[in-house]
Amino acid sequence: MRNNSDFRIISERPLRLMDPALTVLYLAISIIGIFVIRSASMDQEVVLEFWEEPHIRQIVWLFITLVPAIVILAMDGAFFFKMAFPLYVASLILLIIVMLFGAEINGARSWFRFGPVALQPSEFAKTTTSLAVAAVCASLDQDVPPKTLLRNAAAVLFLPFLLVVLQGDFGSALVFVAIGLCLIRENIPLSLFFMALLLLLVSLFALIMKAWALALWVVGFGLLGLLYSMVRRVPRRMIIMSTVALLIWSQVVPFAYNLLAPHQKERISVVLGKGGDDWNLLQSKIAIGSGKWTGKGYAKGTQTKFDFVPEQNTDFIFSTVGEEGGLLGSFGLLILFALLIGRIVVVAERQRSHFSRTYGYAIASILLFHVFINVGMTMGMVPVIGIPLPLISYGGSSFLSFSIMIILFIRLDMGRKQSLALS
Amino acid sequence: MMENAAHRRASVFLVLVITLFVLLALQLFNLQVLDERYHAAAEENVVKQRRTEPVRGEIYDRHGEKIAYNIVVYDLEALYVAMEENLDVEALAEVLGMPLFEVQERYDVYLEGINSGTIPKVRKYPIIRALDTTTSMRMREQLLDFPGLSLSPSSRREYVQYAPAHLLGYMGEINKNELKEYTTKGYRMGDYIGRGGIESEFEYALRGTNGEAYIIEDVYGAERGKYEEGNSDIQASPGNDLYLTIDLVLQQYARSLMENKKGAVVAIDPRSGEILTLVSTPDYNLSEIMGVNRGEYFRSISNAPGNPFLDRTLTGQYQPGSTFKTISALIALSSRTWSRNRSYVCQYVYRLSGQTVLKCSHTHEPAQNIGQALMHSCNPYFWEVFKKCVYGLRKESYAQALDDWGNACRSFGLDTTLLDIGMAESKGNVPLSSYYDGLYGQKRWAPTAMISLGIGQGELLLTPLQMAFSYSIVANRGQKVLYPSLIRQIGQNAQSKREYKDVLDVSWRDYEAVIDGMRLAVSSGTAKGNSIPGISFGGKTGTVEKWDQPSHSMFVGMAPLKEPEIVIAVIVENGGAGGSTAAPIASLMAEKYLRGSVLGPNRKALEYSIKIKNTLNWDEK
Repeated sequence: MRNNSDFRIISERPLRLMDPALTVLYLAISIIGIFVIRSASMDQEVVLEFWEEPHIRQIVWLFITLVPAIVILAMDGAFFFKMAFPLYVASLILLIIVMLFGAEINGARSWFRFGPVALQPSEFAKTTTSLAVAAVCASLDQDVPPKTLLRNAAAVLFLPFLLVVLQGDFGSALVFVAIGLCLIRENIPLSLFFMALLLLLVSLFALIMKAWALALWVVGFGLLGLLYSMVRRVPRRMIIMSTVALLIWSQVVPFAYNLLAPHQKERISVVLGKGGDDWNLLQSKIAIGSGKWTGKGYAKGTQTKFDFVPEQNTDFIFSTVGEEGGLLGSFGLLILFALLIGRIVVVAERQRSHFSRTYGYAIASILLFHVFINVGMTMGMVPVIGIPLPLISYGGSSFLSFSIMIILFIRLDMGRKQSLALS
Repeated sequence: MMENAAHRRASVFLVLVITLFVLLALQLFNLQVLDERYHAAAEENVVKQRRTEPVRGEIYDRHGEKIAYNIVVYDLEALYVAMEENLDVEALAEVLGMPLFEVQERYDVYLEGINSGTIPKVRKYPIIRALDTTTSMRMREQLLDFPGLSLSPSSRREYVQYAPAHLLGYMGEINKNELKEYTTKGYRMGDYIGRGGIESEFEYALRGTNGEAYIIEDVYGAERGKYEEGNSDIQASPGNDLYLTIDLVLQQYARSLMENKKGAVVAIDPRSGEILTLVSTPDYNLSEIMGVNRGEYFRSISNAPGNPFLDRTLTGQYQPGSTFKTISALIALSSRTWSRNRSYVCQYVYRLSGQTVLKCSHTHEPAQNIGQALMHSCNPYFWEVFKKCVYGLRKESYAQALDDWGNACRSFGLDTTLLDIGMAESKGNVPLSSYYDGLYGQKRWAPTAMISLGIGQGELLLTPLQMAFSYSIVANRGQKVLYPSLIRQIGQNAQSKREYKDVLDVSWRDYEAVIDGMRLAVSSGTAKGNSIPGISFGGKTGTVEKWDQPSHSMFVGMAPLKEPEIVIAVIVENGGAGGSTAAPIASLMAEKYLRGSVLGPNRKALEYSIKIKNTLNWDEK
């Protein structure tokens, strides 16, 4: 009975049900993206056909996106829950096929070419993997032990991660690890995430500190933890075990680092402040830094216009924002992204369906990772990992897949009053 | 309970989001506001300073006629990114009319620069400079066959025909050694600098000051526009024009008379000391030495007979021969060891201590006075003059006497350089006692060793400039003598003249007597046949005999004799007797200068006969 009425509402005035804030944020960022691409691609020396201009192509992609958008909005939200695994498996198969038959671009065999259009299955796998993780979480009983949830979710994330690593695109592969952040919201001890954070910090310090010094610090903090356990009820066994684990990890990391390829080592050492900036990165920092408070004005960035920044309309597009928009423009864009992610979390929280909520957290994690890594990389905060700035970077695959990812969530939210089959 | 846990987890996620965004915001603030290193770096990246070339000052003669000026030429430029893999160097050399190896060498240097990254691939770079109009037009028609090559206008020095080559110098590309010295003065590889002569001595005045243009360059080094619409550019300031004392018409006329002759011509206006003409032959063609085939031309000139690069006017040193008798006479008259009306009967031969030391070159009437002796250029008379002068001083020794005589010579501007502008100039030689002491041992030489000095031979050496200057003193009767000068004006600044104070004390009548001798020499003496109708012209011939080749023909003259406006010294090597070649040249020049042209059929015939006279190929006859 209720199902029927919901369906009627959707079929009559579907657009009214779309979350206005999410929709406006999505469109705003996409349109800003087109303007930034136009500015970043401007080059008086190269005369392109109208349809060859990157921003025109991006506009075309925006319109192409309408097709999947309409399809998604017209479909029943329950469909995606049912189809989560089939879609996931299908995208895994595509990832395998692309390794065998795909075109190689920039050293990674991760592209399908159809004439002038190139599609990257790994981009779409982010959405299907998010669906699959959400389905895994939703399909398990509330009282299932966290271990089982963790194991299943990890398995779902690991497969695409592995395949994309094998394609040679380590940066994109890391995105699948980042999806795991959505598990924060699930019934898994927070101490695990705390442990993961500690591991990350210890890894970082292991690369900039002497191994024995770090070992002393780890032991010192372990002792502090034991002291703390006298005041509060914290299992001492856990503190001792994690201290030992971190101690071992702190000695393993430097060895692992030495196994990396030279260019990877360099990217990491640049972030750690060892040695000078890589020239490309320096140009990106110069571009952003020279924007100062208010920027040089739209399409007036010299670093961008005169090709000093590499990949200036794709991975390094944020340098154009920084140069031409200054602190004002950069803050503006970052705030839009923060609002988008925040809104996704808020909308996720109001979902009655476990599936929709987890999916929301999953894509929030993906967006957070992309924005932080991409923007951080242009400013030398994180190693140069070639992943695009969502909705802004030039590229059809990326734009299309982020659009589908977000619109799908909007659709799930539209049907939030529906009771999903399993609930 | 569940609600609380869920809220806690949601806020953990949100805190993570906020933390990461705050990190990004902090780094943005750091880069864009705090860290000033990056603020100007973008500008430094794209705004590049380029030098703009000043226009080189031009060189004019005393009447403001152009001698050296700038013409438009074309540089052949290469744009690497537009060029084909292999440039057809052979075809290019043919179109340019240049030797293949030279074009190949320049192309190789260019490729080297491209490969080492010193020459940007996207910027046009001149590979061959200064193509003349004909070559560049030929090249322009063929440009389509050479993609990536283009012609760009530039400027080059050009000189009028028969310009004083040695005096002016020319322009050449700066070499590595010079670059070390000139880098601090704003020069760089590929620049042209003056080579020799005025172009080199006045390089800085002529060159002007570089300008600065600020342009915007992209990461590949290609120009993408002007910075601030060129408002902060600094204009290059042009070099100073130079006004020489040279009279271009007379210069060119003298040069035409010296065609096919080896020697030098110097003309001075004695009233101002200004040098009117400096001709040194053989010389070289200034346009050719800077043309497309300069390398080849340079080699051919270097190997040519007669050393065309030698400036005979300032650095050539000659025995003055009988032209020196004028000076010798004045020294004797000044020392009162001889008087102007003293006669001496030439016995054709001259004996000293019973030995015949020399003969008179020709038979003539006995000289009744010093004027007649000069007219006939009587050797025994002037030996006698010299002997009386040196021996009659009753000095303790010959050495003292000779040194006094030598110092008297110096007061005529000998044994010293005369110009103050740093041009290459020889000082000549007036031997003193120390010279003979070195040659024979102290007090072990007799006056016979130096007797030939009296007739301008022996160890006496003068530059043509010194010959002209010493006669300028005579022309001025020793009054208000100014040093020779070459530069009238640099830019707006007139150059001051230096007064020559070291003049020998000679009475007015003695000067007149000597000048009268010069008049007689032209009217009926050794330079007979060279008088100018309507203009009083006089001078002294010299015929310096050479044992292995024809004599050098010499003449120094002046006109008009009463108040001379021009003094001309002419030396024609292997030109025979002084009166046969050198005197006519001086005579024709005097008429040309004072009257504007040579008049009358006899004079025209003389002019023609001199012009066609060839004194170069004497050994073939």
